[in-house]
Amino acid sequence: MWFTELLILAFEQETDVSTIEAEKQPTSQSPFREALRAFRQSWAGMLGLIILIAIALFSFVGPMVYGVDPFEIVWAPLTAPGEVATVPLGTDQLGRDMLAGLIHGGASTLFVGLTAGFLTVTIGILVGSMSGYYGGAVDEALMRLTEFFQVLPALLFAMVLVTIFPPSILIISIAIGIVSWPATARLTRAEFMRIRNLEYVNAARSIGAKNNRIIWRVILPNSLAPLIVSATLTIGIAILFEAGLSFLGLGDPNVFSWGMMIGAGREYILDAWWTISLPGFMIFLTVLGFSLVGDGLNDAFNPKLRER
Amino acid sequence: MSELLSVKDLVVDFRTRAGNARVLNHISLDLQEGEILGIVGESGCGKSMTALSVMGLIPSPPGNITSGSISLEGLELTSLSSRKMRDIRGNVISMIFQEPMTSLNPVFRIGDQIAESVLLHEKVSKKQAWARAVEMLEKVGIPEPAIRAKAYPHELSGGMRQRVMIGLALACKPRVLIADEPTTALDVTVQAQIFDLLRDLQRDTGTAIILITHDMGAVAELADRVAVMYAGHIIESGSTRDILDNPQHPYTKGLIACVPHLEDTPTDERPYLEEIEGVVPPLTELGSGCAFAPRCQYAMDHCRIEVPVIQPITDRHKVACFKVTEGVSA
Amino acid sequence: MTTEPLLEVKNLKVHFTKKKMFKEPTVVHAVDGVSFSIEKGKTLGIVGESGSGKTTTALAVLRLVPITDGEINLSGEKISHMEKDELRLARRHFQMIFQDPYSSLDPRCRVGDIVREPLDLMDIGDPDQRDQKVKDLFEQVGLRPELTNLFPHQFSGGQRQRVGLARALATEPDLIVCDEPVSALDVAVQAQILNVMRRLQEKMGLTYLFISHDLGVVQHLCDDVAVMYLGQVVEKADRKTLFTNPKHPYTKALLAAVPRVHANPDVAQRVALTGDPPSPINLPKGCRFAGRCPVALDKCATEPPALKDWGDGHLASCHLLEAN
Repeated sequence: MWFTELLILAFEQETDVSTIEAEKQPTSQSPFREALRAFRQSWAGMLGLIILIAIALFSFVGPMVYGVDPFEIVWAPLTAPGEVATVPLGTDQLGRDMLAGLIHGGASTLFVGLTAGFLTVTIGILVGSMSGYYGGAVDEALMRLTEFFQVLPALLFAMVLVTIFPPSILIISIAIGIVSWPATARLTRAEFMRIRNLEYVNAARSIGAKNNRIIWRVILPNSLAPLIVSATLTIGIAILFEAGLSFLGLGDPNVFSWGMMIGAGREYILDAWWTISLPGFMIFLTVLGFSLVGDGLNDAFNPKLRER
Repeated sequence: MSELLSVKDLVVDFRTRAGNARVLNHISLDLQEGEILGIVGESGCGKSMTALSVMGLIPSPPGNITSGSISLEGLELTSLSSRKMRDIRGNVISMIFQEPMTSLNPVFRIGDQIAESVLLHEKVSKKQAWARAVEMLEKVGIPEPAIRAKAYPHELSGGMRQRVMIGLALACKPRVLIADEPTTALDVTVQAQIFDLLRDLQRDTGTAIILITHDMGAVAELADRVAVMYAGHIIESGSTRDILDNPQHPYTKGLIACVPHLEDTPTDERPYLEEIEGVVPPLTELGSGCAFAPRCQYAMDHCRIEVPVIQPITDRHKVACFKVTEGVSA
Repeated sequence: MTTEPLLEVKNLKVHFTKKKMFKEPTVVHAVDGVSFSIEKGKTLGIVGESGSGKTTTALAVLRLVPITDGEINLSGEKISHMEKDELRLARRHFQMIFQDPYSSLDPRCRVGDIVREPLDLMDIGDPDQRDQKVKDLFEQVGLRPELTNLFPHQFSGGQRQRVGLARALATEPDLIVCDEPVSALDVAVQAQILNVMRRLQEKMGLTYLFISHDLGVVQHLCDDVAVMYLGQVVEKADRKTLFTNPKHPYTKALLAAVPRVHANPDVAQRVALTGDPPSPINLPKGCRFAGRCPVALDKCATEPPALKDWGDGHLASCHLLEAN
């Protein structure tokens, strides 16, 4: 998806367009590539990207390098980090390896974040685009629906969903997605209402484009910039949300996640700082990474902030 | 008439990603007391930058006054501290902008906005400031000024808002008023009203006006003298009639000829408009020589090597073009 | 005058209704009973100030705003009453050039694709022919064909307007509606675009409906001119008659208000209009111009004048003309 494209392009060698003579070989610069060039110049965005790559490597390559089962009891409970060489980051309250837990927790945390983020953006765009494009009665109906979800106490609603259904990380992701799409829907709606009135939309209509084409091929691509930024931030929020649910003991007990580690270790806060600080730090780092990338993307997509 | 404002050899540079852009290139201008000076040119020619330099409002960075001087009645503005410059802005020099919709603060009453400007620069009571505001609104031709002073900007039409802007700009009796495309956003019948207003106010108060515009018609209506700008240079200046009836620089000629002017007795014959080929070059890519040479049909080899300096050809008529000035000296 | 007009607009009305809670809905009479026709290969200019309804008229002719009442015929086809797919396919016969070259091109499409899109949508020719057609169109509007791969932001305003012109020409339409196509451009670029438009008209026999507030441009380009005020045509004549012998006081004031470059501006002679046009919501009962008219009669405040022919197709609506 866009994220992988971003990864490839972000590290691609920069070509200086100004050195190519305009008369001889006109080179095309897509607005998307322009934005990525600007992204590469934003240190916040690049730092965020580096953090996220490090975390992804840690979570996905980690299990191959460090082959300890996170559920296996390997040493005495609550061994402090550095105390014993075989468990470098200590053990939790059951004597399980903290480092293995952190490595395996990463994948599920990222899964929840990305799935919930994807769901949020999908529902949000669907509702927001219909609402913003058609207006009138469609808009009224969809906006009332959006408001309904917006005023729901998100945490409580998610807790209800998770208690009704068996607590798997997929259900948790869906629950988070369902409670967090209204903001994206409103943003999409506002973008659609703005772009709907621009002349190129009228131009598309006057050359005989159908509504579907105008919505998906004309307006959506042009409203994507703020949506991508908000999606990035949504992922961070979803990860925090998952941590919150797990902390309350509503996580998936069969899967390691950082939130669940914090939840399990909360009774030992005073005696064993590492049981919650280490996963807490990982969550902090991941959310920070996504926020920084979001910031960088915002700078890149917003030409007013870009230096000319 | 004595000299009020004098700009000498002003150079302003902007640092951009594409390189250094010289937005003003050795500009010299002077403004006499009670005179209306028109500055014309296409977008990007530096006419608005000239205004911003005089106002001390060049965004910095990326902009920077590299050399030259701007002096107002002998006071050098380029070396003034930003606090002293603030005192001068709105007080001795004021400015009105193109967009009357966005240059008034929508959340305050128009009377308050004028009164605030008065309070900022003069030691008067709030009551006196309000009275001045009402007086200014009356002066700019707003009906029932005492009542309208309590109106918010959105309650007024575009023309009325531009009148309020003029009232605001003139509230502290400035010596110089800079009008940057003051009627571009307005309808032609309202534009005529604003021109009449500016002319009357200028006659009554003696405020000198710098009129920045792309419209030769506006210049013809209002200005005493005109300076034509191209790519950061002043390429021709002189009295309004000199420039409009006897333009010398090929660019000025083109600028006048390429506009379909309204004629009172149109003929059946409709020749194609004269074109100035190409576009204004990016300021970062100006080579040596005259900036207009690549688009000029009379360009000689000389023009591509050396930049022509603006020189007088008659008493007040000055041109920066080798073809013209060499012809005169030969 | 005997030829069948290409475009015929009869009593066109476009009203926008704004519903309000607890209040009577307000109705904006943007276009209120406008009729005109254009012969093939000619240009009709519509001039007026902001709020005169000239842009809404253009959008209505293009079927881009809902029509309240009236009829629009293009080459004998009643396009005002077409719906859905019939309308969609008929659109190839009438196209538009927009005012703002910056917002009229999709920033995420390559300019070649922008020009090609109408061909794809209307299913004209096979893919190879379409590529060739795009190249031809680029050449016709004065752009180098190898630029098709670039994006709109890489072009200057004038070049973008040429791309917009190429897009409008792609389906070989009979009518091109131009809404202030040059008013956002620098004067030197304006001349280039106006000349291209004229050359294309001569070569392809295009018909233009040209909307503008700039009387100089209208005088230069148009064969016939209609003056609109508050949703109605107040005067219409051929170019020469309208500018040499305007009949309606509004037209006279409009012409007088334009600054002249060469003639010595005789300020004293100017018919100064005071005030702004009234809002199109609460329309005056009589003549819509009466409130600002320097020569209004008593009758004007109560009775709307009818648009009448004063000879040779010179239409004007003013009580004063009848009084004389």
